[in-house]
Amino acid sequence: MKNLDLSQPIDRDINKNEQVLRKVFENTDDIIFRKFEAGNTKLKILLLYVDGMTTKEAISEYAIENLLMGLNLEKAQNMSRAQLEHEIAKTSIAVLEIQVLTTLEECVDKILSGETVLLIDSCNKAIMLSSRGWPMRGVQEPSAETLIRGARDGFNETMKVNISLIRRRLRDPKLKIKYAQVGKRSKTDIAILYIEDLVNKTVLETVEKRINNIEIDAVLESSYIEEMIEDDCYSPFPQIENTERPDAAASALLEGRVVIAVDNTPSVLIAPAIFVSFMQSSEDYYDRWLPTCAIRLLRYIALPIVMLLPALYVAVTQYHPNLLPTQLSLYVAASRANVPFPPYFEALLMELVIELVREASYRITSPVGSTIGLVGGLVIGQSSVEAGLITPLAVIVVALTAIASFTIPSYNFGSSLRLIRFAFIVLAATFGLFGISIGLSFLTIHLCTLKSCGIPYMTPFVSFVENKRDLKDTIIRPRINNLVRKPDYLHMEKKERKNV
Amino acid sequence: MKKLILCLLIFSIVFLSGCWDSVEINKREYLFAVGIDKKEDKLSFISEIPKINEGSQEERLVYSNDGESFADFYHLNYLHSDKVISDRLMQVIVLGEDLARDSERMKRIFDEIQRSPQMNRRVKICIAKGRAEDIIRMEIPSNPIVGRFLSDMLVKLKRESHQDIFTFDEAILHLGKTGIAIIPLVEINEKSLKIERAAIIKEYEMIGLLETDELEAVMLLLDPSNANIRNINIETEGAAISLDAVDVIMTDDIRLEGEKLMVDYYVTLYCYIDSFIIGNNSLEDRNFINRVKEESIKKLSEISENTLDKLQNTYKADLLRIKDKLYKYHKSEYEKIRDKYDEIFAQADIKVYYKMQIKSTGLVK
Amino acid sequence: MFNQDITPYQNFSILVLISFVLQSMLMPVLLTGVNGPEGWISVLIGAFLLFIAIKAVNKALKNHSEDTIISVSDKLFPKYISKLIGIYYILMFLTVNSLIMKDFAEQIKLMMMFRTPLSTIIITILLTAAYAAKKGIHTIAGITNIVFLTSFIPYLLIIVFSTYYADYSNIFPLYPPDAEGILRSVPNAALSFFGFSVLLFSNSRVSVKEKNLKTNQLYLMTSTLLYLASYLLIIVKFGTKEAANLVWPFVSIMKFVNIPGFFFESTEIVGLCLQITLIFTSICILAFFTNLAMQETFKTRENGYFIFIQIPILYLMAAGLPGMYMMFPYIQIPIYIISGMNLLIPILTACAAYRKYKRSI
Repeated sequence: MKNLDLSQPIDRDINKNEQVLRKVFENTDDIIFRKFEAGNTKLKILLLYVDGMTTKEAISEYAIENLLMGLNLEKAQNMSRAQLEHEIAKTSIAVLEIQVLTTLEECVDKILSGETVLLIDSCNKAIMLSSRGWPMRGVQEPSAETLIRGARDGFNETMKVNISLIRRRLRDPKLKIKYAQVGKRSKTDIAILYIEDLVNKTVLETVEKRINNIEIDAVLESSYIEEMIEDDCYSPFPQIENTERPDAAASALLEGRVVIAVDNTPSVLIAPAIFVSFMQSSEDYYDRWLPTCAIRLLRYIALPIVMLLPALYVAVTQYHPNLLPTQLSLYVAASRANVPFPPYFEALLMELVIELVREASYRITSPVGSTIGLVGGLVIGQSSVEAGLITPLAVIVVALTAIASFTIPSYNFGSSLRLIRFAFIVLAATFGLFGISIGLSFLTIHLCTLKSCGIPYMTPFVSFVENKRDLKDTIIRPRINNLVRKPDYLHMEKKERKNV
Repeated sequence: MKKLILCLLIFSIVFLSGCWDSVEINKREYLFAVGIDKKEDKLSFISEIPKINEGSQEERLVYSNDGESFADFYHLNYLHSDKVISDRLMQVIVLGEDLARDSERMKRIFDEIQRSPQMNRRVKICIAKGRAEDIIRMEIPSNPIVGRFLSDMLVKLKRESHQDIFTFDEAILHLGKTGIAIIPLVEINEKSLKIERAAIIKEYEMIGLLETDELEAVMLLLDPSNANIRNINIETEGAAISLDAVDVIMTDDIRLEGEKLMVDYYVTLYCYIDSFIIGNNSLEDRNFINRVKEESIKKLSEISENTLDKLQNTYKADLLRIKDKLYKYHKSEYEKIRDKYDEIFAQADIKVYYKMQIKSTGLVK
Repeated sequence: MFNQDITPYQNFSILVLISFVLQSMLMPVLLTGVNGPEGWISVLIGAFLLFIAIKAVNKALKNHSEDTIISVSDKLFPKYISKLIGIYYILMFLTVNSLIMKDFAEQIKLMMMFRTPLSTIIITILLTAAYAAKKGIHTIAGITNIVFLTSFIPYLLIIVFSTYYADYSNIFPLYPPDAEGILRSVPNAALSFFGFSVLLFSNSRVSVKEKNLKTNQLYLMTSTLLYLASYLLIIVKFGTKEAANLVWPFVSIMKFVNIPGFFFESTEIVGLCLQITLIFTSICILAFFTNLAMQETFKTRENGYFIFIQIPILYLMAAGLPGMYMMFPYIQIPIYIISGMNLLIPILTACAAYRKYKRSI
């Protein structure tokens, strides 16, 4: 599109406009140019839309007919933008959204977004008729965040549907939605949602600023935006949460956090997200209080198991066998007698096998998926022990670690822990328990340095006295009628939330 | 660029160093029990090492060598074995009788154990009647690993207050505080081992033995709240009766008047009747019960007196730790007699006054 | 580095942690200094003196709440005196830091990593701590709080279990006390409350400065209780004579932890792992405050890069110094001097500030 300046106002000569647009959409066969004449004066009208992205019936059966019958096209040539919008609105009631466009650039953007654009000869404005209608997936149960008890609807790829799912849960006029577009070529629509009197203004400004500073060609998924707006993209730990569940998004909004919905992504981003956010699940608030407290505690017990159990196995068998009870030491020594590999190699090998099985199970179709578990567990694990390649204890350790990793509610966070586990195995192989302690120290430093939109990642643990109210909703869950305060770490104006 | 250099530095430190202490669990030999005997001018060490096998039958290796100290023994073992010796799982140390009578060597052994960062101070300790080698080499059918057998036995005896000391730590603490310790004596008993008596160690030298009832009498005064006096067997009016004291309350009164030490122990025993004669209804008679009590007290007093006499006159060993109590509660008077305490103890007037109550006759009258 | 504030209780955690580490390191000196189990009296006397000092210093330096002791001395004393004070604090922090590193690296080597070279252990701890120290006080305060919850409290809970088979009568005799020994040990006990020196720097970084006095007093009370409890624990477990013989009382205590039903055989290794995180945190804290002292003394805008100067100095000092047990015979005089200076400098500064305030009225 060299030498084509689309930012100039629309020409009154429809032929010139048509020429330019045909140049822009050269070799693009799904852009339909429908030219016709209307009225007594045979006024030329050009209709443009993308075949496959519009609801043609709405335009052809309702909008165009009403428009041609109701609008005085001769007078329309000389109307101002506001007058024209008013006239069209009176006639084209079948179309809910109408906009008057003044430049060809706006026309091109709207056409490519699935709208229909109407150009009128001798009129230097174009009319956009809302007609988006492309095939989309229905609202289905989220695949990655299934619950025993809770709603079964999940986000889909259409941003407006996602927003409507959230709106159904929050019928609050203070729920604000700001639209934006990111991506020079993709021009992906995004929406920033927040509750005006609950949100932390600094966090909101930070998010908006970072989104406005995104310079990228295309945004194909929300992860692009996540990586570009988070505080430290090199950290293995996610600093922005993503969820497929509308109830989780609504809950985040009620806490005063910001939700970012991205078109073509069946999940939304939530900022800020701290360490404890990734250890919480929506189901925690739907189940009974006492069992939920036990389950949350279990998750925190699973956390060191996920990170450290294989490393501890390596450290104990190579450096500190006296840690184990005497009988167990002798049993482990006996079981290792014929194993050719050192413990760290065993641990790394088994971890690699588990990761391969996990990755394969994601790629494979569901009918065959269960076979992978069978193959991985029984065949590889059992056979390796019988062949004398690894010890039974190593298999138990790795299997327990894998099971514990599934208790972490957030997939992203779980992936980070899995990655860190390998580092701990290496440290344990080199320096034993001392290496593990040093690794934990490094991890603590990193987590304490990390921030999410300016909020320290390890809140409320880093200031547990000042944020003692927030500690209630970390390792255990407070009872619903005690859940009256918003997280203090977000320092919002309105701190009361009643019986959610 | 800086971050890359830092990462490279860290990776090189991690991958090019470390692993100095890495010894796989199956490449170690674990000493479970060590026996030490005196051999001319050296020490003879005998160690028990469980065999690492996956079978249900437990087996062990017995390995012996001569050396000057534990470190010497480990060093020799290192040169003679394909595995690395590890004493971190050591359960028990058995000291031979001849070694126990040599205070210099005992001090050296105790110092080495105390100083070692690897050796657990909770390792059990006992003295062998005869040679420690015989104890370690004993084949016990029910438990082939002698170290485990002795360790479990000592834990049980300590818990039920049959013995005063069972770990090295307690031995060193008592020897440091009062200079005297009662260490369990292990003896061969047909196809097994038994610990009925105790050795008296004074200034790191074995000076004598305490028989079973003497040991009971001493434990009664040392640790009354946990003490058990089992089976006081007496005969009253021709009927044999057996009692068991289950609760003991003791108070003591220690006075030092110039150079005269006077100690009174007031012991109240709460007893159950274990056995009597079936068909004999004498237990319903209050007078009979009183006579039983008198006989029992008489027997206990006799044992106490004999024991105290032995402690004061034969061994001059303050096993009752009266010295410790004097230091803690009558420090200024104790400081005056500190240097001649042994003589003062030998001439001390120590009396034990018993009182008995029969709480229960069991399930029948 | 700028505008990084910590909360009052983060300040409290920092002070308690650093004091506990010094107390555990200097405990053998207290145990040998007094002939008998009356060392707790020295602790109480030392705590009392510092209590008065904290109150006086906080009240007098109320108008200088944004400044550290070096900045305040810069305003009140001639330039060369304030420089000397700055250099004194820098050297003191460096020395204490290297002693902590050396002492605990030796424990780790003896108990866990017998064949690993001591220098490797020292450099590993040093680099980890340096990484944190460069990040600023916000990070360090966060680390301290987390370590307080995850390591310090479990560590204290574990060592309580070592009282199995302890003889509680070992706290006697109380009378007659060894008065000379008690008074001689007061400087040692006072120095063990090392948080008193640290608070002269950390108070200026607290967000709510009005709470500084209360937090400092709370720190002193908590630290005193911990010190007394640790001391009495060692005495009841080992008795005075044996306790005086120990090189590392806390490690010896850890060997006797007997948690019913606990399956670990060597509990000292578990305790040492927790101790490693405590040590690393205290080294971070001291490294940061050394940075801060250097920044204030040499009047630079930032302090993060001073850690690169500290690393080689700390490493050489830690590697070169003999172990604490070798230094015990010679350590008494330096303790008196450092303890005296630690008390004198703030008191004099406070007096000067008070005098200036009175004149200005």
